[in-house]
Amino acid sequence: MDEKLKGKKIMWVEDDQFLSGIIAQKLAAHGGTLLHASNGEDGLAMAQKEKPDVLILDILLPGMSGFDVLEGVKTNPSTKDIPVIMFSNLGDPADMKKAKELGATKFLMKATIIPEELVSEILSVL
Amino acid sequence: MNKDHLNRVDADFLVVAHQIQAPLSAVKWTLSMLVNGDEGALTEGQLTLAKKAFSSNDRAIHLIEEVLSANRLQYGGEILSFSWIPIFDIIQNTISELSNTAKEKDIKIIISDFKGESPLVEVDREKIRDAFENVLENAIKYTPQGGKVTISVVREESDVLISVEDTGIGITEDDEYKIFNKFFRGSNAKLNGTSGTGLGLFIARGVVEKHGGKMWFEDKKRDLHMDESGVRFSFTVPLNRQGKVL
Repeated sequence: MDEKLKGKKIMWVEDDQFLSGIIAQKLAAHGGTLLHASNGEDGLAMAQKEKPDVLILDILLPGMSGFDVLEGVKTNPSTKDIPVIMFSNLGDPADMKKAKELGATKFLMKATIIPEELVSEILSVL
Repeated sequence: MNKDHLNRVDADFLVVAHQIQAPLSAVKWTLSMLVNGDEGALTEGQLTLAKKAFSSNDRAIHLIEEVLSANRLQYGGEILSFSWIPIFDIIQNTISELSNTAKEKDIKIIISDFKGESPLVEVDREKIRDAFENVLENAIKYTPQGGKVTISVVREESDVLISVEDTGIGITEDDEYKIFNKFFRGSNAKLNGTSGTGLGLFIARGVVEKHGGKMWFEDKKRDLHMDESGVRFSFTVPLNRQGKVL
């Protein structure tokens, strides 16, 4: 598989271990450097420390929600320019609107894309 | 069941509908990687089975999406994102997307009254596209092999009138008052063996009404006194949404 993501630091916050494992497998196959957190608090701390090239955020997380993490990233001058892709099971238009207002670059629904498309979406914001 | 019980069942069902999306997504992602060859090439038989499982799982995802969308339209929560679009673009793109489905049944799609410059309409592009796609998909689905579907787009004083006429099985008199009901599937459709959730037209009409338009149908034999069977579905989209959106 080609190494489209080589040299790119890709971080995602996802509490579903199964899905997280699939994401890791796919992104690793394309050569990305992977960073993963499974809850909002760890995700925000990791994003601020590691400053990834892109951040993929689930919304429903234990503790801080994905929206809280998004707000924390976008209001911090040192992380505000990191492109954030919201990645959720919820396709509620109100959530999409809120994500956009808080500064998310994209909003993807897990159930409507396939792993290869996630890679394309990541490449489009890098 | 009393009303409170029904409301609770409805609310519980919506929670389940939300939560079931996570495992369905996981299945979709796993099957997609198998089909894509991420774990090595599959035999032809394995590939066929994996593709069938993927397709079946996608149907379940689509059903959940429709249930949630119908619920938002019925109880509020649907937010439209308006922009000015040439209506012909939406119509032509949707026809292109469904042309292979029509070809498989040797159905001709005829475009009439579709001339000159496209009227600009202020709509939620995706939602109106979905509504039109639903009507056109139904027309193809319920039209037998070798039939035809005729589409017309006419600019009227304050609306654009879009009609889709098929040479299909028609709608029985018993069914005509229920056709836009949630989860309703026509008796002709059941006899014809076509699949569907019974939510598509409910959603399509909801979307059109949310834009300030109207959607209706006429049975060609009963209402239009034509010799051939079939249905003409029509809907309007206001040219300007000002003061018309609910």
